[in-house]
Amino acid sequence: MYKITTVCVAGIGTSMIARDIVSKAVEKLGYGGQVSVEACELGSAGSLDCDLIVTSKELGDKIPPSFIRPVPVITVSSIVDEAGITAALKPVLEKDLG
Amino acid sequence: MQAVFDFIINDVLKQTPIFMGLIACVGLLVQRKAAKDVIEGTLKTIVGMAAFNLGVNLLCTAILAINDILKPTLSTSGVYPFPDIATGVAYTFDIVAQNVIQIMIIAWFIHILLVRIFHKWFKCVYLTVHMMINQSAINILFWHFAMGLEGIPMYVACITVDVIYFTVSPMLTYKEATEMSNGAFALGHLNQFGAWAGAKLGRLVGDPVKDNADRLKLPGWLSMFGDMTLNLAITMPISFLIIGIIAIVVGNPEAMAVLDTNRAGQNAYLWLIMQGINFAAGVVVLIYGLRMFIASLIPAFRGFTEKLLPGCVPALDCMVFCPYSQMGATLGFLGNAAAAIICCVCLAAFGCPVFVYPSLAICFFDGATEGVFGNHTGGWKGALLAGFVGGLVLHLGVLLLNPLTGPLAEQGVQYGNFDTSSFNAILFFLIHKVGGLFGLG
Repeated sequence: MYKITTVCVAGIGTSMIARDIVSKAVEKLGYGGQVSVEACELGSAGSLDCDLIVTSKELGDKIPPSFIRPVPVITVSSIVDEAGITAALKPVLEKDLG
Repeated sequence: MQAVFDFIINDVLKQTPIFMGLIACVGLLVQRKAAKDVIEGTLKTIVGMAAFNLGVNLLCTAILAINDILKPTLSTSGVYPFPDIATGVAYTFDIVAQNVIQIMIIAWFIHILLVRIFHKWFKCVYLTVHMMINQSAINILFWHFAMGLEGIPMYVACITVDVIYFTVSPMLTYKEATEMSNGAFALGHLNQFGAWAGAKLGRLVGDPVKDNADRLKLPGWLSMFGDMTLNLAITMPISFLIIGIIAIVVGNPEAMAVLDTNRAGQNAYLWLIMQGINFAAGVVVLIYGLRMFIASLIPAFRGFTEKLLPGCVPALDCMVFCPYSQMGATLGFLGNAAAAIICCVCLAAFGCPVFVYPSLAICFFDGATEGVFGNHTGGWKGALLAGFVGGLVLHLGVLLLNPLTGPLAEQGVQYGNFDTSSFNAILFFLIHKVGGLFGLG
């Protein structure tokens, strides 16, 4: 299972909405069964065991490298922008999942 | 048979995690999810709710231990304003635990019905689930404990306030919010009144282009306060340490006896710092649990919105506005934090019977929002002033709200966002006064 995590400050408001939007985008791109999406807060981002982090521009450079494995981060200008998230996810999922 | 029935009603359903799990289970079944998703969602809700309760225990133990020292020293009792923590404590009262989710869900459906019928005036669908839970819980506390309602009258009263709040408050900042987000979303948190005041104040003091906050440079370490865990881990040990030092200097024998019993041979200062760390850890656990149990709710709420109200604007968590002015958000936080510290020093100096801890974590969420809206209409001057006024209202409003929330007041925590300190506090105060004339409450 390919794991995506959405990150915001507290991990309960914005990233929760983003989690739902990313799930929808993943389904639209045709990877529905292969990807799981979770939300988390900035404070735990340094211990994430996942394949991809999605967050907003201003948090992008604050995400610490995970000690478990290096996780690529994609940033979008608004973390609740469905079209922007779909466009940013497409090349990454095509490369990683084929 | 009767015994089994009684066991379920009186024991099983009073276990909040199981009760919440059942509600999530019903919700997932209604959405016709696959069996795997229903089991996963139900179990995660149960574990999440249990973690939420554990977080509450941890942070309450810490703050009550500090309050036991504060009380005899300054003859004042402290409350820490933070809405999700307050709801966590409110969940330990049966009346809240057994009614809050039903009230929230009924209120939300009436809210979307109103948005559908009166689309001309009300264009926003409130989607910030954890704040809907907070708004419903504070209403139960007021209507049940301060006004003495229960059953249907309590439901009607709570749902009415909820529906008005969810439907009207996002419209206060609709113009500014949609200008920033390009019509994509509006603000639906617990600080819409704060953002509205921020935008008004900004217009008075500055010019959005000439004074644009994002042309300023501020030191990088300030961004530490933008990480909630770090924010609490810095501010709580410092707050508790200051209170401890004051207590030791004053040297009240009762306070010293409590301190000596609690620290059990540990160094007093280290013990105070550890209580602050435990408080922060409690919040981390609480938020982790909250995340697990609202994760199964959000897709359902969004799904209904898309089906029933295409073309509506979602009202979202305040943090979605931060990218529109990072510097406005930082200045708003600084103004808010300054006001918080001034308030808390004044309350202690003037011997107010209730001491309000400076809630710097909420200063970040509220202040940032007010700052972004203040900057949008009045540049850096607007951001700073909006945050400062927001901090004053947030902390002083707690004094008005505190006696109206029943047993919550004795647990050392209180609701604390601009709107609970203004909209809820003033509304509840007036209702309580008027109700008193008619022999209610």
